Amino acid sequence: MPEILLDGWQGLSPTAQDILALLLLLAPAILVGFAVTFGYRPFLLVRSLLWRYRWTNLVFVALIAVSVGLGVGLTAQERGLRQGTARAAEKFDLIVSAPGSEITMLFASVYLQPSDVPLLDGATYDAIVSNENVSLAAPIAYGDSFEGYPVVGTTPGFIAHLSGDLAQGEMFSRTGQAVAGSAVAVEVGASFTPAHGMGDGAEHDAHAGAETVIVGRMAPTGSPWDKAILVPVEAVWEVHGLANGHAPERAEQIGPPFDPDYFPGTPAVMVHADALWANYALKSDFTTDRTMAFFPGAVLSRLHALMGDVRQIMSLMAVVTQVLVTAGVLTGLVVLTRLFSRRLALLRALGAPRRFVFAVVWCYAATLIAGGAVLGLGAGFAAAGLISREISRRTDILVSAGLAWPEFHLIAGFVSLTLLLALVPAFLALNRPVIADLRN
Amino acid sequence: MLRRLAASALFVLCLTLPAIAAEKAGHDHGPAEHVSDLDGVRIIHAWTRATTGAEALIFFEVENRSGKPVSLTGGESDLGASVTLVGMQFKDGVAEPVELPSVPVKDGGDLQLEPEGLALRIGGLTRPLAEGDVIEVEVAFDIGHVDVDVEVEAEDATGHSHAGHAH
Repeated sequence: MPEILLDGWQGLSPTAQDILALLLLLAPAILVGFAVTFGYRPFLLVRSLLWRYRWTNLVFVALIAVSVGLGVGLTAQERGLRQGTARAAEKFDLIVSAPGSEITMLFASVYLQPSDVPLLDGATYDAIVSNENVSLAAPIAYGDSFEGYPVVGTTPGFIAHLSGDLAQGEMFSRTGQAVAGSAVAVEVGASFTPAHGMGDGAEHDAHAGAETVIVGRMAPTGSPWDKAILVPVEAVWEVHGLANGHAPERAEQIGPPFDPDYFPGTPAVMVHADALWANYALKSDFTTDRTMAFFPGAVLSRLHALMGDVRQIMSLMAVVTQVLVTAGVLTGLVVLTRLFSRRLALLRALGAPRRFVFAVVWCYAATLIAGGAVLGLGAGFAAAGLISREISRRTDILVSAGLAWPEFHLIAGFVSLTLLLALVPAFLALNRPVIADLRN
Repeated sequence: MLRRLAASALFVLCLTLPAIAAEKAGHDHGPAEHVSDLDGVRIIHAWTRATTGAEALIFFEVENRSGKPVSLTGGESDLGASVTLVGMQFKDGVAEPVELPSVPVKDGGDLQLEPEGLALRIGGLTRPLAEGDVIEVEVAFDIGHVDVDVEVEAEDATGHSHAGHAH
């Protein structure tokens, strides 16, 4: 029997598993609801109780909504950030660099947070582009900037791979021309002089005379490359007083093939193969004493896995916070039931069965909890949207946090648990002395 | 997380019986060999993760010192219906295994089968894999097959417990 259950569960599609998990999590709430209200219709009385103490009730609902919203917003945000950083790395199949830290190179090459790293020489670059499994190999040469925008040297092939057709203008065809990322606040046709380095330490006059005109603009990529200015890699080498990658007779050429003898070096090469198996063969080929090859997606996935425990603790803390807030609200309800204890005692005196009174109090609490949870779902959605926009603005990584099954499961578990807790104030209300309450 | 909890609750129900059955069947054997050799192609530190599921991913390092290029193509095992070579395709940060025909390893080259990367996938596992077990898998190359002892590490392991030891 257990094997049948297990096989059955594994045989379900992920969506079916999610729906079933949601129903299983909601089941205790639904069963308790049926058991408590069976044979009675307490809803008219509940409605009048809700209206009679509407402002207090609204405060309770708002408290639950805020705690649920925070929990839901946080988990949705964490997932959005994880997916956003992963999407930003998706175009970077394989990175080859000098041996060192994969994470440093990942941050430098994919998220444009440059570090001082050794360069790959012309012979190594030539070995990469000559490999039969490589369909695109592009140098990524960073280190310069303009008004905070990284200026990155690369090839037209890489730009096409990264963002497809240009959104505006045309591809650079000579040094002195550049293509701007979609979020660079410099118009097509405007010109600039790159500074050497980035941030406060950038030397603004180091590349004097290297005026560059923006001739095109990339389509949005949802990555930090949207705030980069891309120039021919030849231009980066030339402004640093190096050979430009081509023999003197082909000095005007832009893009590959490069001449190994005139190739000054590049911190990283983005390598793309058409087939997945070829990527693994390439990684094997370029994991040598002189080169390091890694999949940005895999490195990121390992980082996310490391953070997995934090994620689970965060979800647990969200649930605990919600339950604590609800426990506070339920304690408030116990006090509140004292306020309407006379009405409940009157009901009892008029002959209402104990279970009916129990049903009225439980349904009253359940309405507040369910109302708070639904409002919290909306609040969480709104909070996740607001925080996402702010993170996207600050990091240039497109983060879109929407609600998904984990949030619905979280709320379903919360509703079930707190509706069971709501049985407590209902029991307490039931055990109040009828005569004494009537006299009050 | 809650979905995983719900699934785990279901799994716990059926953990004990299959485990006892496996003990009786006596699938495990003695201490594992950390290195297997096929005409100069060495397989080092093969490992997998403990699981009660239907699939397991096997990781190891291939060193090709055979004097010629070879291709890793897949494998066979009595413990599962199939053993295939898979690579990981990432979509929104989630790795999805994709079957691969073969991966070449040039002479003098190394190939790493590791989490979030290349792996051999046993499909249709006939029994749960418990930490400390040693299972046998036949790894297939274009030049022949080689039996490999695969050590079962913890469910959340990220590497072989002897990783870093020279052999």
